Formats: sequence, C-alpha cells, structure tokens
Amino acid sequence: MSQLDWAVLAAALAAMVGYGIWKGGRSRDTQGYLLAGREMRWGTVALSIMATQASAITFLSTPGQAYADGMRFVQFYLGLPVAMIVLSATAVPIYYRLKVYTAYEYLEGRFDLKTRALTAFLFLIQRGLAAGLTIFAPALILSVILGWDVRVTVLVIGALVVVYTTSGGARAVSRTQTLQAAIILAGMAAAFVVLVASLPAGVSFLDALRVAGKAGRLRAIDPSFSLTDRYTLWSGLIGGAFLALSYFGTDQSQVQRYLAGRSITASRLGLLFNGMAKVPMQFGILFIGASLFAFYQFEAPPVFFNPVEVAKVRSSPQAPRFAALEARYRAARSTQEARARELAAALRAGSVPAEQDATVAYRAASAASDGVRADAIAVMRAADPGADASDTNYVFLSFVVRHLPSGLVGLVLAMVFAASMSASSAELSALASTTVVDVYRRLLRPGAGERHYVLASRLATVGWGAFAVLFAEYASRLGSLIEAVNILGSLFYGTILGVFLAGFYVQRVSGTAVFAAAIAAEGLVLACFAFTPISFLWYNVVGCLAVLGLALLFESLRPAPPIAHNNPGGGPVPPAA
Amino acid sequence: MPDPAVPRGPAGAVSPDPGPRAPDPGLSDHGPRTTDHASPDEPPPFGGSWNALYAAVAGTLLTLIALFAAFTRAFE
Repeated sequence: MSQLDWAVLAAALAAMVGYGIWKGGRSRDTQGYLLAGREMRWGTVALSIMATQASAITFLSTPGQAYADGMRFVQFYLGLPVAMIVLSATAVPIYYRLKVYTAYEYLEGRFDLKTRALTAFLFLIQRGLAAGLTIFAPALILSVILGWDVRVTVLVIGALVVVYTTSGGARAVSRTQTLQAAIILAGMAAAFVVLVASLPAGVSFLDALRVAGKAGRLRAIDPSFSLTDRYTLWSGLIGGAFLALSYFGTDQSQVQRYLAGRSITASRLGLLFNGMAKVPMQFGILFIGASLFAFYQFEAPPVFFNPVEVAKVRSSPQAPRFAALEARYRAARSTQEARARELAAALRAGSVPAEQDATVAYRAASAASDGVRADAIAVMRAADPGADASDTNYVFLSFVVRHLPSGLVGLVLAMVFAASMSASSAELSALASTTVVDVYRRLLRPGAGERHYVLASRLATVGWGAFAVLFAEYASRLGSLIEAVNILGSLFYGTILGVFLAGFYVQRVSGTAVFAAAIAAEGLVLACFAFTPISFLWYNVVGCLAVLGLALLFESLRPAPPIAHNNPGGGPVPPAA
Repeated sequence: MPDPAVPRGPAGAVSPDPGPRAPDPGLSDHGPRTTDHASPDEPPPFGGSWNALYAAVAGTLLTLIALFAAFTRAFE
C-alpha cells in the first residue's frame, strides 16, 4: 500500500469514530442510550437496518461467491421483501403499542417471564458468538492483505467499535452507519469502474459478460425445488422469508434499529425501503463478482488468491511441485484466454455453429485450468493439512490490491472496516440493551435510577465488545466462517420466530406450552443439523413450524381449567381472551 | 383515510392483538404507555395507503424475479 492509501484509510477510520462520538452525544436515560431517543427519521432507520445486516463479509465474500459459484446466491434474499411487509403490518404496531425496548419484553406480557428469559438467552448466545465472527472474518482477510497479525486487526476493529458505541449508544450506531454506508458505496463503485476500465483492448464489457454467462456465472434464478440445494427460487422465497422474519422481527440487533424511529411510520418505511432495496443491492454486489470472473477470463489470475497460504507452500518441501503447477497453470490460462477471445468473437458475430464450437473449446480449456488449480490446492494441502482450501473471500481484495490505483486501495480497505464496524456496533448495542433490559433490570436489579442503567448499558457494551474480541481470537479454529455465521443463526432463529408467531397469532396457547414447545423444537433443529443433510435455510422453517405445532399439541394435552371454580355463579362461560 | 388492513393483520390470521398482559415490573421503568407516535392508522407520507406501499414492495419483488429470470436466459 502506498502512503496515500494509508492516509485515506487513517482519515476514514478517524472520521467514523469521531463522527460517532460527536453525533452520539451524551444520553442520560436508557431511551436515549438504547433507542437513540426514538428520534430517527425513516431514511436513517432504513440505512441503519441495511448497514446492520451488511457486514464486511457481505462485501468481501459475496463477490467471491459469484466468482466461484455464480449469481444464484441472490435467491437467498428473495424472501426478505415478503418478511418486511409482514413485519410492517403486524410486529411493528405491537412493539410500538407496548413501548418495548427489546423484542423479548413483549413475550413476558403475552406469555410469561420464563419464555421472555429463554428467548433473550437464545439471542444472547447466538448474537454474542456471531459478534465475534463479525469482527474476526474481515480481520482475518485484512490481516492477510495488509500483512498484519490477525490479533492486531481484531483488536483494531474491536477497539474502534467499542469506543464510539459505548460513548454514544444506539444514536452513535445509527448516525455513523450513514457515513459508513457512503464509504461502502464509494468503495464498491470505484472497484467496479476500475474493473470495467481494466478489460484488455478489443474486449468489451458485454463480450466479457457473455463469456461469463457461458460459464454459468450469470445464472441468477434456479426454479427447481430441492431440500438439499442451498440456493433455489423456492428455498429463497420460503426458507429465506422465515429467516428474514426471524432476523428482522425477533433479533434485537434489528428490532433496536427500527424501534429508534421517531414514529411508527418511520419504522415501517425503514423496513419497506429495505424490502425494496436489499435484493437489487445484493444483485449489484454479486454482479461485481461475476464481472470479476469475466475480467479474469482475459487476464490470468493467481493460481490461489490467499497470499498467506501460497507463501506457506512456497517455503515448504512441496515448493518445487507447486512452482511446476504454477507454470502449468499459467500456460493453461493462456490457452483459456485465447478460447475466451474466440468465444467472444463468435458471440459477437452471431453465428450459431461457430458459437457452439467456440463454447465447447472454451469449456474444455476452462476445465483444464480448473484441473491444474485443483492439483495446486492438493499440493498446498500436502504441505499443510490445515491449510484453508477456499480462497473465495480473497478474490475481491486481491483484485483491489493488484489493480486499483493509489488512494482507491485505501478507500476500499476503509470500506471493509466501515462495513465491519457498522454491523459490529449494532450487535454490541443490541447485546447491551438485552443484557440490561431483559436480564439486569428485570431479574437482578429492578428499580434503580436511569443513570444507573445507562452506566450498566455502557459497561455491558464494553463487556460484550471484550467477549467478541476474545471469541474472535478463537474463531480461527472454526473453519469456514461464512457457513459458521449462517448456520449459527439458522440454528436458533426458527425457534425464536415460532415463539413470536405463537404470541402474535395463536391466542389460545399458554406460556408453559410455548416454552416446552420451544425447548423441543430447538432439540429437533439441532438433530436436523447433526443427523440430516437438510440445508440450513430449512432449519428456520422446521424450528418455527415445530414450535407452533407442538405448542398447540401441548396446550390440547393440558388438563382443562377448573371452570366451576372460575365460574361459581354457574352462568355462561365467557370466551377465552 | 385510515388503513384498515394494518390493525386487522393479514387475511385469515387471528388478530395480532397480544392478549391480556400480566403485571410487568420490567416495563414499568419505561414510564407510562402512551400512544404517541404509535398509531398504526397513521397514513404514510406518500403512496396513499400502507396497502399500496405493501403492493409496491410485492410488485417490485415479482418484477425483480422476472428480470433475474430474463437476465439468466439472456446470458445462457
């Protein structure tokens, strides 16, 4: 990195932290600290919702996902707009009417304290661990790119987030997310413009895209139905809707964002804007990844995008074998590039027979390159059995470091920090609010003053920040981080959503029945995870439906209430509430 | 004009009314439960009604799925 890049990165980080402290102010009560005084406009709510969901992994992994697997990952988000409509029409009015601080407060009024405590506990476990992963995943990638120790990048991200989140609470989180969103947008746009401008002479952007299409990278919709295929139209619409309902409706890190709206209208509009903008945004990020694939059909990429793993194998006894495979890979890619140019010319000419021949030749050359790369990865694993064989997280930043001009590299790295900090700060603020409102104030220390609870909230933020950093230090042993984040959420979200839906829509079910159903449903989801090949998106459906079905079953098995005792006058029994 | 769909909830569903509340000391610290800024009947500042906005979001989703399908077909 050049000095200009370091200057841009440092200025962006200072601006984010300074802006957060400045805009956060000094809240003297819990409503100000935990819900930003309920004064956010709908645009701020919308940006805050989107920035909370989009962590750094979204901007690093998603392009790599499209590079390796095509654009079908966009189907993961198709259920989200449906969930936004349902939540806007049902959950938001209930939360506003009850003036709750956390989603779990509602459950005590509807059911009982133990159900509130159970869901709050599940949230704290799941989100506390996820906060560590949110910090660790980009820290690991940045450590590789910057050449820093991963513990340093974890500490830098964690410390910066804790400083302004503790200082300004939810207001600092929401205000800073608008600045961070601007940095993210600028970074992605700059990378895309440079990518298109870097295509070789004689190859238009459309040519490159058409070649990527022949390689299957522009397949966005798959209408087939499968319980084991992760990304299809139906798993996205059904499983994705359940996941989004649970995440946006019951996860405090999101509920806190829209409860900070200045009115119910601001909260609803924030959710609906997310429903309209999220899918195109994800499509755009995936399109950058697919464009990156198209770019690398006309310029040879490295045989492996993770420079640390490559350096390790080069310094091992396997180095000569790896060097030979690198030379073979360069030759294979040269052939593939020639076939890609021929395919582009045939597609431009519009001759169907020539296009078919060129497609067959291009695919054969591509398969040959992929074979050499697979051999190189096998050698890497032979040198170090613990080596990470997936390099999708490094595809985008590898391009940035190699091809972006001085200054823009710093901007994109600032984008990664911004995305990581925006998601982490919202998580820490939500963890603090649930800890203080649902546990500390409700169970341990009721009746203390507002200043006491604000101080407790600040200490909880610091505590969860420290926990996240410590867990992030351990996270390197967890394997695939993207899978870990997604599966971790899906293990708990279905059960929590089922409890909330029972509260919203099934009036004749009691807290005890729901509590027992939630325990049983969570066991069922964990069994699906451990013993079946069912894809993780369906865990949300399984958990939710299990809670609803079992709660109704348990309720029907409960002994009838002593009617004579409740109705001593012997008159007509009133209908249940 | 008040939006009738919001307080009623989705068609066919039981009303989203949370039902009777038990005594809740945890909530008492938040102050009295006023209904300021909390009317579900408040119309949106644009779009006419909440139902129209919901239809716009659903329509956008259907349009996007159709566009993605056309995009997939165009480049395969």
